Amino acid sequence: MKRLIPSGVKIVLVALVCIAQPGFSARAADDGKLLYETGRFKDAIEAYRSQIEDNGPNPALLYNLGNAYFKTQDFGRAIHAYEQALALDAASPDIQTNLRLALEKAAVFDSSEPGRFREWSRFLTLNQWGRISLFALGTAGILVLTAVFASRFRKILWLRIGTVTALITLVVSGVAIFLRSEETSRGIILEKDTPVLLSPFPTAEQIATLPAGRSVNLRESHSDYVHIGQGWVSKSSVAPIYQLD
Amino acid sequence: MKSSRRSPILTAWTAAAFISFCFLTANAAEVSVSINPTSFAATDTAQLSIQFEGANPTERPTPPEIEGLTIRPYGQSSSVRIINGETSRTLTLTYLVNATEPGEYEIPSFDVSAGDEILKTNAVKFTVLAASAIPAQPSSPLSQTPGNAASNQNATSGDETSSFIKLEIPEREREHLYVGEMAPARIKAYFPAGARVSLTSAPRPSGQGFTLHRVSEKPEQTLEEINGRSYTVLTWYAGVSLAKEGNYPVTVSIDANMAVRQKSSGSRRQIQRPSLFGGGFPGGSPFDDPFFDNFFNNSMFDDVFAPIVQKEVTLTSPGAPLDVRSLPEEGRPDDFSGAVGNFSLGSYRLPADAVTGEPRQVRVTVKGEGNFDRMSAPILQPQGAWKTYTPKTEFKPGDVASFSGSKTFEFNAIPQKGGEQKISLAFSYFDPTSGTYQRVQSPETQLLVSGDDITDSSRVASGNQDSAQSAEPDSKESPATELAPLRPIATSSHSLTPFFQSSAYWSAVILTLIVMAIGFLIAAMLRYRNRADRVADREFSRRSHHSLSKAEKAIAENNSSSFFAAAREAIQTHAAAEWNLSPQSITLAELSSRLPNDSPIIEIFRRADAEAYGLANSQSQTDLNHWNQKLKEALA
Repeated sequence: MKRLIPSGVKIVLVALVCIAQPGFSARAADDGKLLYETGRFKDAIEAYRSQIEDNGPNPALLYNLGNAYFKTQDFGRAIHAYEQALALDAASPDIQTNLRLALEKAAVFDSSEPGRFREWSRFLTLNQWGRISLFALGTAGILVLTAVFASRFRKILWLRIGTVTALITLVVSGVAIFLRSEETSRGIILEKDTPVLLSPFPTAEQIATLPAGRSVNLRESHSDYVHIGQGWVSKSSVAPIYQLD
Repeated sequence: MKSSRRSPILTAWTAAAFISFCFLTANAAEVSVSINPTSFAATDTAQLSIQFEGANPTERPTPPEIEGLTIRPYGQSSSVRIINGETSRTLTLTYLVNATEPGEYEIPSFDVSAGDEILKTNAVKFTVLAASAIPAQPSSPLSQTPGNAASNQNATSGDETSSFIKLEIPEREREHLYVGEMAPARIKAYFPAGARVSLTSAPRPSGQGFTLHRVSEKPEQTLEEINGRSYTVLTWYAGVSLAKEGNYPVTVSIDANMAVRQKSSGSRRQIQRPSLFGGGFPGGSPFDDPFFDNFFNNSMFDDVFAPIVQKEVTLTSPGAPLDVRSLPEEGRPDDFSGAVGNFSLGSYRLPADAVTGEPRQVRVTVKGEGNFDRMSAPILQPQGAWKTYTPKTEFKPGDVASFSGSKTFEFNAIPQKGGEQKISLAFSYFDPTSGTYQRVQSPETQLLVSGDDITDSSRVASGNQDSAQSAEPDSKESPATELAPLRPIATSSHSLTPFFQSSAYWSAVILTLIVMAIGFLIAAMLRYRNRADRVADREFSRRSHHSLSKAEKAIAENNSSSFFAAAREAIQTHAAAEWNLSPQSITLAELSSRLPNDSPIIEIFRRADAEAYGLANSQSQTDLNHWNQKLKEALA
């Protein structure tokens, strides 16, 4: 029994790692790579977009698409693609580096000051935190019910440690999700000098302009416009990072 | 495109509570119209407000057209007031009103629709005066800033473009600064409150010979009132580092995109441009921008009907010349790296053991205030006995301008010589207050380095991957400028829908919680069922029922001794449960001591004892039924 318990803990840890990983996968054909490397960046963009539409997004595709946009000086869309890639692969230094370069090129300065925990929580994506929280909830539930029904198990140290670990993981992942949940309403301004209107009508008074690549919080929408806090912008000039149901 | 769903249940509850609250506390819908001021010049603009209380308009109402008046939508605001538990919600729509001719005007009552209701506004009257009847107001903040003795009090302003920027360096005891010294600075940009401004750059140095360090990324935003005029003030904190000696001003600039009225080609009044700084600083006035020419040489009222256009402006701060001196040559330590300020040694970690040729990590923190950018890693002493590599650094600012703080260095050090050593860490800096170089050294630590001396340094470099890695430049201080290359594409597909917002996630969470709740419920029921008193009750009922059944059976068989044995057992069971004793301990003596002598229980028990010892006569079935009835009554 004593041998089995540490093995069980190892299995749990391995399961946690697997759950947090986006998945193991084989390489696919990169239609855009040749176009990109021969300087045909617009064709590369079309190739990557087509692949995303056909196969769904993945971090590498979005990252490569961001690079192609970057090369065409379309920094708004490059930043959007990098942000989406980062939403799927938070730990990639390549994505982080190129996003920072694109933000610099677009002269967009991130004025947000995330707290330490929020900063730390960005080592994982929101989806990874979601999977971890679910796994922790299930594990905690099983262990707690085991302790409730079989009182003799309560004295086993590994079960106690496992329960506490699962509960701590559940709290940490829950807090991480809560703190970052507002990210799901973030969007990126795609067009340069996007006009911000006072009200959601084409003839409304313009109150400001926003640079391409600026991160905004998307609120309610009205016809072809979406509210971003300080005013309304055209839906065609801003794109959400996450796709909501 | 939808807004985020942080917590659907919480959001739904909050929304329901808010709607209920609003519904319960809603007042009757009202609408009122007011204008401010009620008397203004023909060249001026008044604000018309339509205020809705307890209702929202179906669409933005359009006031009736009146000859000579122009009414344009401007903005809206809303507020919720709770007074003595009563809530009222107010929505105010504002319009700008201009008149082409002086005279008495009235905006008559008109209908506005709010939901299913049609509300009627009140009429408002106001007076428009001739432009010459209004004296010029010295409303420009530039003309009233202290130090501007030559200000033009007749300057007509009030335009949203009366913006300016200031660089503030705190006063110090000495009048001079040193090359490399970093002075904390505050940059404040003033924009008229309500002005539509979009910054297009961060503050930057506009002169030669100095640099701005660590400009705070997010400016503080405050409201200030200068001479009765409200300004939105953006404040950045930074460090100003002076790069060359001499006497020169320190000025900063910022670019902004402002919404201004397009100038007309109408009449112009030549107004002397207000000079905030008395004029006379190198590079000309910061208001030499054509934009300010347009502003100060035109009446704002000339353009009141002109369309609003976006205009790029550059604000430049004034700056008094600073006396910047070079660092003295005398007494300059060899290991001086250019750090100017006031520093001290914080925590540090030296190797506890070492082997020649094997890297050991050293960690040291330097804290204080000054130009941390020029602070190099403290040198491990004795200097010739160790080979050190480029450190990884981390700076933790102690204030918003990063003027003070702590810088931690982590580097690999490889001992080159074996034997006993006294190791320590040391660094130098220039103290601008005392004007002298200072050297800081940690206490010496005794260390025994095992192994032979190293003469071939290449062996170290090739033999230690860690040290080679640590020699790489610090990524934090040398950011990459090249685009990282393409990545190989995987076949897997991911979802950009947040998992925690999906129905699958919440179904799993709710299912898990339900299973846990059911589990807890079952556990609680089992625990209740297995409680000691419940078990004792069940046992009592079982034994009592068993005894009485035996008694009934004995009557049926007309067996007197069996009946009384069963009766005795029933009495013992009941008495034991009642008095919390064991059934065997219930004897006639025990019953006699606790019950009155004429109790039927004692009578039955005495008869049962007699039967047990063969002292009693056999009873008929009728008698047994009589005894049985007596037993049941006694035990009831």
